Amino acid sequence: MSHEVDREGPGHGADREGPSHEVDREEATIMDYRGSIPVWRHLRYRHRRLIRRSILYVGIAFVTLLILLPVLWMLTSAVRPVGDVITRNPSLVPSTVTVEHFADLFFDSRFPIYLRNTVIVTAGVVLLSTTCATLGGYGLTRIDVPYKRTFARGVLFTYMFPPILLAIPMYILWSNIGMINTHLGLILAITARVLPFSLWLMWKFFLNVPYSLEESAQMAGATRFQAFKDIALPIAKPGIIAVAILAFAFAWGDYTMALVLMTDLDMFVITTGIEASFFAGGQIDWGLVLAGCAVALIPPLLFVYFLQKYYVHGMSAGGAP
Amino acid sequence: MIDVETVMPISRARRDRLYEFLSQRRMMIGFTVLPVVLLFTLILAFPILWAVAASFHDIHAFDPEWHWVGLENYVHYLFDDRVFWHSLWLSASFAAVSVAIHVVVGTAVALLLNHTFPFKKFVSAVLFLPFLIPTAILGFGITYMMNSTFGIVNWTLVDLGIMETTRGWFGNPDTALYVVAAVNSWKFYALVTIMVYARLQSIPSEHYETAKIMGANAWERFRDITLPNLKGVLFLVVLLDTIWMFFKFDIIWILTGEGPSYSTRISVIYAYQVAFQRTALGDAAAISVLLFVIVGAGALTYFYVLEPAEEVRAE
Amino acid sequence: MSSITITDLRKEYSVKAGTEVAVDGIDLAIESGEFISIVGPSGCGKTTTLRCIAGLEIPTSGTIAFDGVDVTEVPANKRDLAMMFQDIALYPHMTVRQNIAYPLKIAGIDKETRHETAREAAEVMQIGDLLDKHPGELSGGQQQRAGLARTIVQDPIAFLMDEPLSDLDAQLKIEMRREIQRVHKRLGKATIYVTHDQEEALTMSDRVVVLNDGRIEQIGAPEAVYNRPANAFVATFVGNPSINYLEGTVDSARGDSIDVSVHGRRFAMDLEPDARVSPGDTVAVGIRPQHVEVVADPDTGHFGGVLSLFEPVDDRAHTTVDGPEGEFRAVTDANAPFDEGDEIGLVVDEGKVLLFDDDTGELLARAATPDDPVSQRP
Repeated sequence: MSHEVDREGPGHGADREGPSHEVDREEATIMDYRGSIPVWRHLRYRHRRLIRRSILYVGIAFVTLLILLPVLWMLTSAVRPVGDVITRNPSLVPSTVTVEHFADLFFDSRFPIYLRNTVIVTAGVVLLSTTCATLGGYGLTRIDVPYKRTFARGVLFTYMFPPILLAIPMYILWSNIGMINTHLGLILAITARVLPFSLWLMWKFFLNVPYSLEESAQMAGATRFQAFKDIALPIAKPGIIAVAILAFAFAWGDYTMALVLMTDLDMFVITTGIEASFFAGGQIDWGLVLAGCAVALIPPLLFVYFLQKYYVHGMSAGGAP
Repeated sequence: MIDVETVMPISRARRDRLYEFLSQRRMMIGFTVLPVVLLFTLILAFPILWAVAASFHDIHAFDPEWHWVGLENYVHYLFDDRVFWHSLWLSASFAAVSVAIHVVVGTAVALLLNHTFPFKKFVSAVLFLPFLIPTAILGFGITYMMNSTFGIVNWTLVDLGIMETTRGWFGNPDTALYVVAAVNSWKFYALVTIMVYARLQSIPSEHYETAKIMGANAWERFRDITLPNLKGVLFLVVLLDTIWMFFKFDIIWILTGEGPSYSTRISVIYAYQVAFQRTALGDAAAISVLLFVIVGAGALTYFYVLEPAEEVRAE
Repeated sequence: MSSITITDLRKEYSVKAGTEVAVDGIDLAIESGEFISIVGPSGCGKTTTLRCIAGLEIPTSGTIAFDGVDVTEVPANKRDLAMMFQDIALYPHMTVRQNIAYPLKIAGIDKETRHETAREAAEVMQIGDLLDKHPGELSGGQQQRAGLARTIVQDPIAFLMDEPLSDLDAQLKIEMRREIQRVHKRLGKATIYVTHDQEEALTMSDRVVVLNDGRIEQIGAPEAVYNRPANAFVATFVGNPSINYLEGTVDSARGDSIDVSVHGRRFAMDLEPDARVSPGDTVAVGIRPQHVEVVADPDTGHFGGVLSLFEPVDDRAHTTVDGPEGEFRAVTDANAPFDEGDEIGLVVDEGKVLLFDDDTGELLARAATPDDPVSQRP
């Protein structure tokens, strides 16, 4: 607790919550306080600052390494020769760099098929959910539609519906209408996971865009549609990018929906595909697994580097792929 | 005034008519709200209702016939199935441990990030990176790195003298679920960090300055200014995170499946097995509905018992 | 050229508790080239009225006509009006040039011409060197100028302004007021200016419309609204510091002239047309602080009191006096030799006293020697 009573005038203690300091303020002088000043306060401000900074830096460095090292290890292991991949005492920096795993991955495995499926599905999800969320978010803030609040709450509520619980009914329904093992089926399924959140995000975003901007465009002669196209849409760009990144993250990393809805090996995506092809039969082909993981890691690395501010904006409202 | 008619070429006039057409209220609703409503009905409302209907039937994957059984599925899982109840307990344990780790680590990291330091852009990029990494990829990487014979994690710990010998992290029935929770936290702590960090950034620095002038020390400033400001966001994050972790499937399924001696057979894995290994879709639907009702009831109770501030209520 | 006629305008909003009437039957005719202010306290319906004229709101009933053509149902973008919004509403993603040129872009003017026009308009508003900046980089006053420039290029039939200066600091406000008036004079188009600031309304306008609770209290020239308020609401709302009311009794009424006594002082007044009083009636006597002189001798003036507050404002001072009925405000010279606590006398300018009905608040009579020409009442 604080011992900086020498800084306080009488009465200030009462302004604060928490235990006040039982020091007789009437008679106390600076000299009396000497003994109660902790070692910390004997240090010069500069030294205190130095210690504080060091603790901060050590903490940050520790957390950063804890996150960074596993990723780096996975990436570097992907370029190690087979012998180095599963060795007892690996060197930190690969002694020999090889692309053999990547060559195998792309020319001698089903990975290209999985990658193609993932790219198709991801593109579909990003396009569908971003478009719908942007338009829907705009409509819900700008047009007086009956029951729109109820609708928006209902949508957000389904966000709590976990993927596996959504996947089971979808499997039942999709198999009835022949959408199992189709790209469209998986696109819709993942969109179901992305849409509630992205709609909510865009709705919030448009609430913060003053309507007077569009009204002013209307006064300038623009129709409502033009006001939407020329004013609201460009201003919403950061929100749209955030929503698109979220959709990408959901779709690119999807495992659960694909596991349930894509049962044909030719329709697997990278996550389920790596598991199905390279983990098969107890004999794990670590070189291919790591190479596949490395490929899957490229877009996240790019996004986090180039589009950090947008995606942090999206995440800070609570999106979780 | 500019005489629009004479200046305007035909194509412009046509385009303007199109804009006018689209600007009608009916059309605006049609192209903004309607797609979302339709999509929502097709991919969310409909499957969920379908599942509710299915839960009253006996359905098998390769038999197109649905057999009406009424409440039988529910009665079975509520009263006759100890596995279901045990799986619920495992789910709750997993969620509790996960959320505890996320909130403590996530808040701590957010507080660190709230300072200024060199390379901040790079550091925050790294700290937020796990969130974009596919959970399955994390699972594969962890399987590699925590392998009991050659995993780097094991050998590093042995070399540092922390462990005597290597161990199979996911082989011990008593701890497997919690090891998975810890591994999963590598990714999901960032959810708390990002949300808390956003809130921290929005606390006006004047509040801290005022407190400083009044003589509050660092701990008192944290207790009296930071914490009260974080209450709302922590409330929300605990709710969301609990729900997600309660239903977490992918990482557990990849790392341990049902686990050594069924020690990681949480509810959703059980539901998955019932659906796709026993191919009892009606039963799986009933479990899904039950889980959703249980978690929904829990969430509502949490919401109304703790009475959050207005700001965290969903609009 | 173009006049705007509003007939029996009503606007209701449905709220949870039922309907809320924002505008309750307004009739107003705005002449071409006129600068008209709509002023009133917040929630009086002034912005709603303006938005109905703009076409941004559809009235519940009533009509709006431009030059006799009913435009009530015409959407905002077809009305050929220009509007300044309270938050200026510059598009943050466009440069100043693109902002100013946007109305022309919509009108289908080619890029070169519209950028040229935008540059001219910007030069008129003295922001010619800021054309390539984004609104976020401009100061408050520069944003106002850019907003004004954007309305100029439209060449509208009328300008609508919705409290455009309310967010500016005092000095900038006065500067921008002058700019708006300069633009008004230059273009000669009708301007409808909504404000809650009565001073702004009085200094800028040809006519002032005082609105309260969705109804018009008075329409008139600024001098008329100030010197001959239709009722106690207008008298209170217009003028700063606000008018003093003292309780008075009608002594005698002969034809148009009546005598009223207030705390033993008698004032001779002329009855307003249609006003009716009889001796013995209790009335409210309104005296503006500007029409009271504070003198050192407590026995000289109409009333005496104790000076309780002396607040210098530039070369004048607002004083508060514990007068015959409690607080009484008067405006005096800033270097008047008074101290708080002094006993002082209050000399009322007998030619400026107003008389209001105690119940309805209607203006009953004015001082017998009016210096001002009589202007129309609604």
